[in-house]
Amino acid sequence: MALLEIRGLNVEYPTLSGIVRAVVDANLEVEGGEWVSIVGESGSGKSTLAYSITRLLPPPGRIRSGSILYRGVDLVKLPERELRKYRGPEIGMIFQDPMTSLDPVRTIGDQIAEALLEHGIAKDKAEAYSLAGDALEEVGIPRNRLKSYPHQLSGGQRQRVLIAGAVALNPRILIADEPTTALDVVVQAKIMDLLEELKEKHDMTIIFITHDIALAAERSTRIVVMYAGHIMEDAPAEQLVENPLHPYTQGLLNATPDLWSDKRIESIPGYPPDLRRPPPGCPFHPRCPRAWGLCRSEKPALLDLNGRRVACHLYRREGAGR
Amino acid sequence: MARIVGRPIGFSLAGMLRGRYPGKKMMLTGIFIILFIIMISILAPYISPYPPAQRSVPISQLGTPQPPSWKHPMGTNNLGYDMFSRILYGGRVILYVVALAAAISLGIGVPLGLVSGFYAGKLDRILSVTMDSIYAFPGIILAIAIASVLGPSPKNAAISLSVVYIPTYYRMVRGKTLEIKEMLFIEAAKSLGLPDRITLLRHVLPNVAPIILVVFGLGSTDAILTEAGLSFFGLTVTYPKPDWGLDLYMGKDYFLSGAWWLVFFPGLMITLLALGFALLGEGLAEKLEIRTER
Amino acid sequence: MPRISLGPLARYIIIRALMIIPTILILYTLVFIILRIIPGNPVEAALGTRYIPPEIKQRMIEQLGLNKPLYVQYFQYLLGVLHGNFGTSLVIVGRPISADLKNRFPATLELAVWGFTLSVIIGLTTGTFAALKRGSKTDSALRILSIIAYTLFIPWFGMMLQLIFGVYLHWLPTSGRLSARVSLHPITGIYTLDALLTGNWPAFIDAVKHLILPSLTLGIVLSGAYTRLVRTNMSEVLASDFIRAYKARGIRDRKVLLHALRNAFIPVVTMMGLQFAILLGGAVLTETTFSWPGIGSYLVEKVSLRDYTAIQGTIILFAFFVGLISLIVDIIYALIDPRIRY
Ligand SMILES: Nc1ncnc2c1ncn2[C@@H]1O[C@H](COP(=O)(O)OP(=O)(O)OP(=O)(O)O)[C@@H](O)[C@H]1O
Ligand SMILES: [Mg+2]
Repeated sequence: MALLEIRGLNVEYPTLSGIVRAVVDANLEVEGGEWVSIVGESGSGKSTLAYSITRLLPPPGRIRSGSILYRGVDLVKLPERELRKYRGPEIGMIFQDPMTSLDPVRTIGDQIAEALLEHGIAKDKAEAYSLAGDALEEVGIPRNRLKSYPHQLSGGQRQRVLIAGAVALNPRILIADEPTTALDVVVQAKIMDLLEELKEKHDMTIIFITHDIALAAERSTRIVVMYAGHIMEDAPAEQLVENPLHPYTQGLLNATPDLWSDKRIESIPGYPPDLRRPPPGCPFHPRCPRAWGLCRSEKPALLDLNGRRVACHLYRREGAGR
Repeated sequence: MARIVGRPIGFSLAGMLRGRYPGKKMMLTGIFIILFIIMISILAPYISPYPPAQRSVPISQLGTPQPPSWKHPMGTNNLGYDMFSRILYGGRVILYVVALAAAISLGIGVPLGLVSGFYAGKLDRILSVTMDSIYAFPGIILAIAIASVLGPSPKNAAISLSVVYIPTYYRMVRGKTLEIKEMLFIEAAKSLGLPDRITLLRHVLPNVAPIILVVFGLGSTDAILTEAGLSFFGLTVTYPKPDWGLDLYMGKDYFLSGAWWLVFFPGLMITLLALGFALLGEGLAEKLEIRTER
Repeated sequence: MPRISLGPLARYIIIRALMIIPTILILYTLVFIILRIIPGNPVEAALGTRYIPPEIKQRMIEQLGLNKPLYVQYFQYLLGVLHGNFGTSLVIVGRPISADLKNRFPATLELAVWGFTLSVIIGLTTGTFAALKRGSKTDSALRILSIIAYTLFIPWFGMMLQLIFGVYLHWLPTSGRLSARVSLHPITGIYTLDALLTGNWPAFIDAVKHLILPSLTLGIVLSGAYTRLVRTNMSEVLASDFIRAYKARGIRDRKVLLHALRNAFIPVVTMMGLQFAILLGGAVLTETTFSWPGIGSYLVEKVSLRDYTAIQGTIILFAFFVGLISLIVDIIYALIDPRIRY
């Protein structure tokens, strides 16, 4: 049994101007020890997919159907009180904007220690602070910073604090939603190193969300490509980069600058569809250079191909045999 | 560039009634309440069943307030005056005072705010500190002091209110002027060599206008409550002139022994009028997307 | 709680205190000018049509220093005020105004503090509730109610409460600060506090009963502004990233709400100075309505007697009071918001 199993997940945001279908029929399995990156353009539903795991969708988001099995327990059906015990100690999260993800009027020590007490990881305040201090040191921040307020720290330091807060609870899965997007490149690399180090040390599984496929390729064991709420391709990181199957993945890779070759960067023409009125057939067909008749009328299923998956009619025949 | 400064205001009644926009219901309710009160005040001489300050009951009933009845829907007071007639007449003074005060505060506060914000010099600093000090002081207390010196009369009450409400207009207008001044298109207008007067009237004022409207709505709410307070303390008119605030005060000695109608109706009218302006101001603020302090 | 070394905070307080001086001076000057607009002089005006022998009148004028040049009067009075001397009454000749004010002030302070506290509590709860139910019927109802609260004419609203709770239900007294049968040894003049200090429970309960209606009047009328500010802030805070981060760490809802409240509360504090000033204005009306013997009803009494020196003194005391409150608000703000640098 996989550590995390998402089955037939549909997530939507009912708005005044229509229902936004942000995640459509998503199926995904994550094994223990993996580093799975979810990549895709802005608005493709990466965050929505990630937040629905612990049901932290921003209003008016709601899970319409599907199940999310964490070690066999369906988190979708779990009562809120039960689910709270999973948030933190089982599944931790860190967010895109470290500047706004910490409570500005409380010390970082208070914020980390509070969660340790909440989940009974620390018995009393003193222990909670001492553990919080350990966590800070682990991410490279001196423990005397426990008494600091967020505004006294830099962006990179704050992201470290958030990571410390999450890792202190010893989660099995750490979901990181673009944790480096708001930081400059040098800091970004350090944070990535830190994540990798902590992953090994704490034996964590990482679900890493990013729009930067190059960044994902560096450390992931597996990459999942999303487009317009659909999972388009899912493959081991190397295979996906070396041999992308889906035209969208190919487009994404072509749009990525490459240091070692002077190939031209080509962005994918056109725009992602309006998720309130998705096009019929494959959601990517209006922009796809290789779209053919069937693409406009029938939605491609996610096909299994030798341990990787792709949702594209180009691979129909091969998939049918399996 | 003018686009960023905000929508130009074109208020037509037809335009306000048509279409959907946030705050519409509040605004229209407010306008309805205000118009209703203005109407009964104008029509009072024609529709009130009795003269407002004349005995309308038999001598035998004098001295004892009579509860509402068919003949006197809002009862009578100890002098035998018909309260319904007094209510119909009682809005005239407050409307007059508040309108006059709004005119004075607008006439002084707006130009002062415009010029002060536009030139932002030494005078601006002195003016700002002065206006802020008055603004931070409880308005009704200052108004009471001024009115007590000037003596009870509607005109004097209006002057007292103006002193209190000039800072409200001044501050808002000055703030907005500063903001607009920073914007590029004013720079452009300046560099074209337009005289300041033209820049102020053509470019700044139209953009400040929506704020003025909102301040008018919300400021008038305060002004009504303050003026009612002055009346309540006998600083606007003298009895037996019909006036809601004064009638409320006169009823104070009787209502504890059960004559609720002597205070209920006058006070209700004051609150209703204040509510009318508040709804108008809030609705406008919402429509124009202006965040208010209260 | 943030830890503060005394140095910078003390400096911050001193700077803030100094910044209040111009405000008070400006108000003093304004009041001074206004009271000199009176045709003739204050003595004449106060006397009205009453006859008093010219030599006595002359003596009063000299006693009050009204024969001196205006600028001398201006500074003399100011100096007096700084020494706690607010001049003497025009009507009860020779009576020092500071004695009256000292007598009356605790009543106003007590009413204001209670009313203020109630307004904050009412505003916080309704505002939070509206934010949690944002977009619902409850939310829009609270919004309209908060507007209505603000437009209630205080004497009327007070009288309605008196009618309901005093006249019809007989639950609460409608005037004064203490029942005649209750005795209380005054220490501070703030009755609820004095009762507590002397362990006098019957007096405490009686004083609270007298306080409920007037302070509820003020509390409700003043709460509207808080309701709306808290609603806006709370909605913003609840949607903010750090709240989501709390939830992602599994913190229970009640605690998350408390953290949100604390954040939403900070902008509310900045508004409190102005709110308190508005409340003091309302207190003048409330005191008159509830026969509450504070400086507000004192002002109104003196207005009808045209005792101009007493009016001047009372208003200046109000100015100091407002200034002091805004100083306190500034300090509280600096204490609860760690982002403030001083
Ligand atoms: N609170 C919301 N209300 C309505 N629609 C929303 C809301 N949040 C997200 N959406 C919509 O859902 C879709 C997916 O959004 P999501 O934030 O999951 O995308 P994303 O891939 O994380 O994008 P990004 O890279 O910009 O973070 C988008 O079309 C977005 O407009
Ligand atoms: Mg996202």
